[in-house]
Amino acid sequence: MSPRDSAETRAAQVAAPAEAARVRKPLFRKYFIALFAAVVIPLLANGASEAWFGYRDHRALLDQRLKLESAAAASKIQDFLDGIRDQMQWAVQLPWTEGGDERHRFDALRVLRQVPAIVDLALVDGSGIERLKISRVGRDVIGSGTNRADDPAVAGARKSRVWHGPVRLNRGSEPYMTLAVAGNRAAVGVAIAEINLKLIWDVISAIRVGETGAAFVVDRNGRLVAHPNISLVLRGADEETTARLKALQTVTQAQGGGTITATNIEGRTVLPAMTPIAGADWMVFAEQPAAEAYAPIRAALWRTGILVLVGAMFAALLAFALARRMSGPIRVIESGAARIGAGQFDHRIRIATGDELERLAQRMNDMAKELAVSQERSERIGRLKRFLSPQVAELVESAGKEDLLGAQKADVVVVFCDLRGFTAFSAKAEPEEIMKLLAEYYEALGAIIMRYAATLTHFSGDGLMVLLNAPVPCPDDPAMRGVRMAEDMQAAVQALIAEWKKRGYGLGFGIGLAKGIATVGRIGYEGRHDYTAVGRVANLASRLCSAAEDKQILVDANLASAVTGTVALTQVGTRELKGFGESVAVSAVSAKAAAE
Amino acid sequence: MARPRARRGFIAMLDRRTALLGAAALLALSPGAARAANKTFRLAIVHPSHPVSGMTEAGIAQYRAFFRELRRLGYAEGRNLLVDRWSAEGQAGRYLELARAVLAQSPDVILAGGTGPVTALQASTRTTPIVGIMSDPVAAGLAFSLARPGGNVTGVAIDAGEAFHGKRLELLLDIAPAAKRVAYLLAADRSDLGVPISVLDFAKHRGVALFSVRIEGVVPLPAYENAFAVMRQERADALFVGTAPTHLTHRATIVALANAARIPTSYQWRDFVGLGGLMSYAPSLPDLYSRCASQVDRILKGANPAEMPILQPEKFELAVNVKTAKSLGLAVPEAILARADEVIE
Repeated sequence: MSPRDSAETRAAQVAAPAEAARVRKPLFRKYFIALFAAVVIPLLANGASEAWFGYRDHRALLDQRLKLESAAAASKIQDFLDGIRDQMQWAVQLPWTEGGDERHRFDALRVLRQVPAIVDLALVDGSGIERLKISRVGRDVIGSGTNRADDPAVAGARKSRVWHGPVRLNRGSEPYMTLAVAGNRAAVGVAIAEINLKLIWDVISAIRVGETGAAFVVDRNGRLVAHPNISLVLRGADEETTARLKALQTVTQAQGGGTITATNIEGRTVLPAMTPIAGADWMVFAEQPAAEAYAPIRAALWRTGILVLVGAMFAALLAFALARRMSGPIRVIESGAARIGAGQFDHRIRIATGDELERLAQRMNDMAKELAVSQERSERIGRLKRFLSPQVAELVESAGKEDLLGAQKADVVVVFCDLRGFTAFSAKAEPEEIMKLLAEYYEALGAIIMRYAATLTHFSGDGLMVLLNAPVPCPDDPAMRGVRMAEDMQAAVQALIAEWKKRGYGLGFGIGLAKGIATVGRIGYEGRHDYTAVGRVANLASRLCSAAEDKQILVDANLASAVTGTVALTQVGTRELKGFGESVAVSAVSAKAAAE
Repeated sequence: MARPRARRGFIAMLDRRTALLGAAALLALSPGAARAANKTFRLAIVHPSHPVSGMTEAGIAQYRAFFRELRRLGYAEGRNLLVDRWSAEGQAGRYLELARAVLAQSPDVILAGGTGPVTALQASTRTTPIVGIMSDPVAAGLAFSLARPGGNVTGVAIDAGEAFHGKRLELLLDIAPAAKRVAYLLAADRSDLGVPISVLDFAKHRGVALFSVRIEGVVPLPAYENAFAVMRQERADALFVGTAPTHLTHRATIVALANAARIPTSYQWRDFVGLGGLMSYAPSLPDLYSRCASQVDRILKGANPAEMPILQPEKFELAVNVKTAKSLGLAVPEAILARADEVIE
């Protein structure tokens, strides 16, 4: 599996839970709510205030108009009664004299001709005696001599010129009223007329309040006197209509003449207004069905409502679009960050909003790029560190000098070392024991190799090969460095051997060093590379190592010459070494170091 | 709320609902108005004696008033009104037969003149609304009371109380103060119940003799001639023609006989006076018929006749033929002239 593949798998693993775990308060929702509210709240406030003030204005207008309507209706009813009164005045102009009845009779007949509403008319003289009575349907009576001085009509008219009697029903159906009019002096007497109030119907039915509203008249006892629906008047008072009229009167009076909503005599909901008629002590109502009266305000409410609704829908669309525009790129950045975070460094966040978000995405892309570079580098360093000391690996990496690892001829110092008696030991010992021992051994050696910045080319079992001056040249003399390193190695391992001896293992340690030109470079295959040195010098070092006894450090002539004077060497003479035709001059580093 | 633009979704739904609600409210508020606009109603007019040709918008005065009022209320014959006209042509015995024929046409409402035809119609149907022009529907058992008739009959009551007939005698005696023997003309049929009590009372009050003469026989002219012969025998010096519809049918005969006999006569309807009769006093028929038209309208709009009060007359018409008075050698008193609504000279 390549690193690329594994990175993508991890990205997928990271992305999946991110999608699954919903955000508690998504940004989209916040933006949407904020934007929507910003438009809708003023819209609603405006709509509500408009509706409220519209309602109030309309209501005030309605109150005013109904009041006017009732006043107009009252004045028409008043005119009807005044017309009758004025005509009756004709009958009370002449004073009564003996035998003067004929003049009065003609006056009375004329009044009857002029006023169809008068059913009969009686004339009473100054002393309260009825002198004549003219009727449309009944008998005419002349000079009956009946004393009507105590008649409330006569008394009332004498007191206040005009007297209105109570409304009563003729033959249980038609409303009649007595109207008495006195002349300007006592001697002319009083005219008493029976009025058929059904004739007000012509007046009242001609009054229209709004489209379907009406006016009607109620007397002091709450009896219906006139109504456009004449049946209601002629049917007389039943309990239901009386109760409704009473309720209507009560609420209207409680309101002080102002407009309220009430149930009318026919059971409909209306807005009534009332104007009293002083003389007759009647009340004239104007009423308009509430449905009709409120129709304009209802239409206005509908209009406002629909406008608000349309506005809200528009606001929702706008908020949706804006919230999407704002939260969309953030989501793209989020998922991009998740992918990059999961190691997919080649992922690029693509946003072209032209704003800070685009810049943020650009920054993240740059970061991903940097991360990719740095990951690649750390991977490379990791690879180098397998055979180079960390310092060298960093150096090689940071300098970008990986070509140092390429194949070349170099003057190197090759160091071989291994344990003596390891094969015998490993045959006997337990695997855990072997591995523990090897771990101690390599730990000790590894620290030294690293300290000397040497290149570990390979190790197998107890043996290992170390290179100096390649791939990076040593800052000082590599030969000298090699010897010093060998001495440290010998010292460290000898310390371990002493330890091991206590545990009963008889082991030794030998080192061989050679210096010379070798071919160095990487060998291996894709994914598994080693750095090594090939050539006579490597073989020589290996053989020297094999030849070395415990505690011994053998060096070849090249190396010996390089360190002569600095390191104490002992000539051990020439040796016949396997693979080398001629005998080789070998020196041993003086045991003084080993003894330390 | 008519919206020209087509809308989608719930606003359109809202509109449709508003429209439906509005329509429903309209229908609920004025079922009659909605129906009157697009339905043709069937009206039957029935009268004991008027010729059917006179029952039109251009016919007899009361029908003119009736149709004028109907037109004002939005009904026009031929457009939304189908009128069937029926007349008993003065034959009281035909009322039941006529009633069956009228109802066979299943009219929406019937306008019926006279207590007799209304009684016959009500005997035949208890559902079809009848607007009647009746003397006294309560006394005739056609209605429970004037205020609440309680059945399928409403309309107008001509008799403005019992006293009214006495008033007619008073006016007759005002014109003919010398009269001492007054004849009361009764119809042959049994629907004419006799002399009204108020007439008898007033005769007694004024100290005049009053006797009734009933028409005997079927053939009009000889029957009326016989009646006048009886009057001559009885030395009648004034005549009171009763309220039976038959008299109206034969008004020309009666007027001619009365004038020939030189008897001062009081008739009920103005029709007689136009033909040369001396005087008439009665509620204004055009006024009553135009009231009937509004009742017909309310019934067609769904009102229940049982709940529609029967109207009483409020306008009375006194007609005097001064020419006839002069030929009879009578001086019409000033008081009568002052009272008269119509004076024919």
